[in-house]
Amino acid sequence: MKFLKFNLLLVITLFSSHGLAIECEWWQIPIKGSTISQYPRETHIVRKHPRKEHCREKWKGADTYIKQFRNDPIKGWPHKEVFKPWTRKEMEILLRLLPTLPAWTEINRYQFFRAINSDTIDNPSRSEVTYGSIILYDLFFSQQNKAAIITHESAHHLYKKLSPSDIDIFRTLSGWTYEISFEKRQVFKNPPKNLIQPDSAIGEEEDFTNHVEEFFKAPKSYPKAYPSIHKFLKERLK
Amino acid sequence: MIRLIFLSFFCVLACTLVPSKWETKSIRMHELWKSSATKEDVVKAFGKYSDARTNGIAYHLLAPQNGIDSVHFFDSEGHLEEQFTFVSKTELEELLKRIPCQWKQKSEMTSLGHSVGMIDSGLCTNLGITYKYDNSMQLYEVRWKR
Repeated sequence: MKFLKFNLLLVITLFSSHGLAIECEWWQIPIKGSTISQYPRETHIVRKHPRKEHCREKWKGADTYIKQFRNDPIKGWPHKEVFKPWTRKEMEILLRLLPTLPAWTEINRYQFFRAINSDTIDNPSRSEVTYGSIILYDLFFSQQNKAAIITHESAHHLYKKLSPSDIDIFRTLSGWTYEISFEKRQVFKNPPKNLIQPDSAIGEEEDFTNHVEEFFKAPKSYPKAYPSIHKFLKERLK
Repeated sequence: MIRLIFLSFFCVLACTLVPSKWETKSIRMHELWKSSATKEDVVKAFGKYSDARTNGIAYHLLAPQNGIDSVHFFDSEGHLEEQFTFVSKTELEELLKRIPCQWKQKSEMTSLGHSVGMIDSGLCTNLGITYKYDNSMQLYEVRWKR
């Protein structure tokens, strides 16, 4: 009985010391209700006012980004890959990272899915461009360059938004050529002679995403190496 | 009032006499297809081609190294045997509206290099027309083939 009384007292003491009745989500922190003293701002003075207790996001935009995590698989996924739910630790890594990315990545537009391993070797991530999804594999979480990886994936979605004339400009600047085979009655695409990454040869979209990734992670060297594409990207990625 | 009547009359007359000039390229290609056009008919419709072989002619967007506008192949008798072009979604929708056919259409999630996306395709068997979305070009390839 004494033990029970002690526990009850302890709970009351702890609760009253915090003075909080509000329950927050794990990505939020509780802010105590209090009275804010009068303080000056640049243009005016804010009078003394009460502040209600409330929950504040731990990382900028967390209340928005948290809604973008999906635990279910993507229907009709063409790869033999296994989707799985997010752990809190993994979501926290993303919630810390996402607000650091530039606005042009449009990172708040995508849904984030989690899968075990890619069926492509050494692939940390993939994008589904029709509905706007980014899939992160186990490998992603052991990588140092997580921001560059997410930027690369966002570039797949940005490519989808380019107009045919912008695609034509990028293709020409990068050095892609189209060739008609009159025998096979098909169009063949010749990749640029100097590829920014070996997998740029896959197609114009992968080439574009590699350029955007480099544009993001090498702001000093990239403009010197690819001045015309840098200008093209700078005019569009704002 | 007389001016207004004259203007209306002129508009109707102009639209009736030169309808092909107001059509999209793919619709004009379909018209050529229906009439089993010859190389001369194609040149008359689209002007001088930018590349040619014995079995066909091609039109590029600006220069031969740039985008391809349309390619036309002819049979031994000189009639259109196959042709293709690349169109936007709006132009494709317009074309589908103009071609009365029981289209077999499909939308399939497909691997596109390192990304994944829906690829729309369609088939009109009795007229020998197919279309398929080209993700890299963000355009639809429309092909007529006998």
